[in-house]
Amino acid sequence: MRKFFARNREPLTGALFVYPGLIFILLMIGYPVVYNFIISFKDVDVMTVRNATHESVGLANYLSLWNEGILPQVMVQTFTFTFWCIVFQFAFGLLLAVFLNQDFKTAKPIRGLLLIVWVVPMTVSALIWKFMFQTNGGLINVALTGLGLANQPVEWLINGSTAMAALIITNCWVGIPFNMILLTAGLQNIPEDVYESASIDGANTIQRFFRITMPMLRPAIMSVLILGVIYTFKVFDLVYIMTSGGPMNQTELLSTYAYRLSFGEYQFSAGAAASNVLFLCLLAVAAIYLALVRKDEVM
Amino acid sequence: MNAQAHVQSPSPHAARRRPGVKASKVVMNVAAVLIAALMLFPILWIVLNSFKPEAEIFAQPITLLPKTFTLESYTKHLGANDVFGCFKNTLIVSLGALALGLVLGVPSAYGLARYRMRTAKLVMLLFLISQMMPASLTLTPLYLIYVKLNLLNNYLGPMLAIATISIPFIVVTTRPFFLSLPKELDNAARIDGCNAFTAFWRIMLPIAKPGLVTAGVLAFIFGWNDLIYSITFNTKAAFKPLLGIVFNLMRHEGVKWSGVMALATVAILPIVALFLAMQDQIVGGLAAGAVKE
Repeated sequence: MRKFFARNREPLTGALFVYPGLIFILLMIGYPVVYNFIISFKDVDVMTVRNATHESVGLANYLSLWNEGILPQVMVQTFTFTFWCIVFQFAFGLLLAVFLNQDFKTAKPIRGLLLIVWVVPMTVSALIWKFMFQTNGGLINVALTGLGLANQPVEWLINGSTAMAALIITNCWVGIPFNMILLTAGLQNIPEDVYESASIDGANTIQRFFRITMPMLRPAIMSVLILGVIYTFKVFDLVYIMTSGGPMNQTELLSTYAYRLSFGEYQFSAGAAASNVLFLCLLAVAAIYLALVRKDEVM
Repeated sequence: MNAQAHVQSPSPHAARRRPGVKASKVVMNVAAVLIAALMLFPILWIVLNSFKPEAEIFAQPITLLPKTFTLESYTKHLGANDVFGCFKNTLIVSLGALALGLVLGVPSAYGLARYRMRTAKLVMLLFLISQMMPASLTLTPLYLIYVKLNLLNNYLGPMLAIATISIPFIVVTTRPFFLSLPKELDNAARIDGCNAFTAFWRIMLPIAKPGLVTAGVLAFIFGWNDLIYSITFNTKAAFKPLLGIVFNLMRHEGVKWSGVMALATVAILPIVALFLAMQDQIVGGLAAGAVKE
């Protein structure tokens, strides 16, 4: 026994530091994830929630969401929302990162200031844009009609497709500064002399961007894109406040759908099933991310 | 893009060679300021509107600055909604979650950085995955568990849930910091009679303070910005957070925009101030945590 402690002194001391935090996470995230799986195969709703045992129903919860519920539609909407958010926030984030990585006086302070957008709570971001997207007297419609871009006010949050567009615009507004900061970190890791030797070889700005910047930024781009997918896929507060999934479920995402089932209709098992679908999608993306991270030897 | 694009600190010599450089710098500065103004305007817009009388908020034509400057939105809605009590609730929950995050997260980060363990990779993986878990996934099971443990309508409910976000975040962002500290420092402390824990407490923690402050500030902000955990687990008014009132005012059929503006301004003021004060460290810390160095 004594020998065991002496020989494993280092890993054992390490364990004392590491494990309390890990155990907390396993209890508060690991256990709920497992519990979620279990209740998604049972029948737990507001009537049975305080019962000691619950009836097993197999795949019934999943099947009824798929056949009678709006799960397929919600999945398509979640993918659509995520796709367009990633496209725009990445494109603008990259443009801003490259632009603000130039050498001029206001670049650095402005980079910091833009992050205020990311610090503001999602609840407040959502209400700001809900206010600006108001049909009558909302700033966006005032600007559009004032500039002659629209003949009459657009009913942004009242039509399904424009409501989705409004959500995408709002989420990109939050995502752009975050993408910019992560890509800036990537840009600053590219050594200066690579550019110098390319200049000597006669490469112009555009050639340098596509032949040097983009390839060398690849690891940063990959992690920004994948983290972006993960964070966008689970967006909740924004949609909950701006549209609550409406009109006619047309902006319902997996996260808000799961929440509505559990805490709007008190069908806890159905909610668990919907959030499991979200979990499985995320897990697939996370697996790709972790495979890439491992290849780059982050850990 | 300018030819100077990637030269971080051009020598005056280089600048003299290219006459267009100075002019293009002016253009870049102007463009950057315009971009910042455009991006930050929505936030400024609700602050400006919070000082307008209710009737002016949706008046045509729209006014940029309040035509009649008034504190009416504040005087009417702040008292009516027990803002002080909700402010206190938000503070208790976010400080509690921060404390949990630091007490459990920082030793984990240190242990993973300082000690050779066979499980280190797996542990790091678990922290990374847990950081990606959506709130909507754990909400239902946590709610049902809290029902059994009698943790609904209790500050601990949201506190524990928010700590599941802040612990992995603190581990991921402070571990690189501990990795950068030389191992000899710990060895020297040991020779001077410290054990592993006193060395961590008395030597390593004080040195790591700048990194810890950054991670701590961000973890505090996560707690401050939480809405969903607090309103799901605590439905009694006595536990309502600041953002909970804003949310309630939004839900009514006729949204009380003047109250929403005033309370949203109150809710973001402290964290925006905190962010501005700590800006440089936060920007650096964020990048360190999310992207491989």
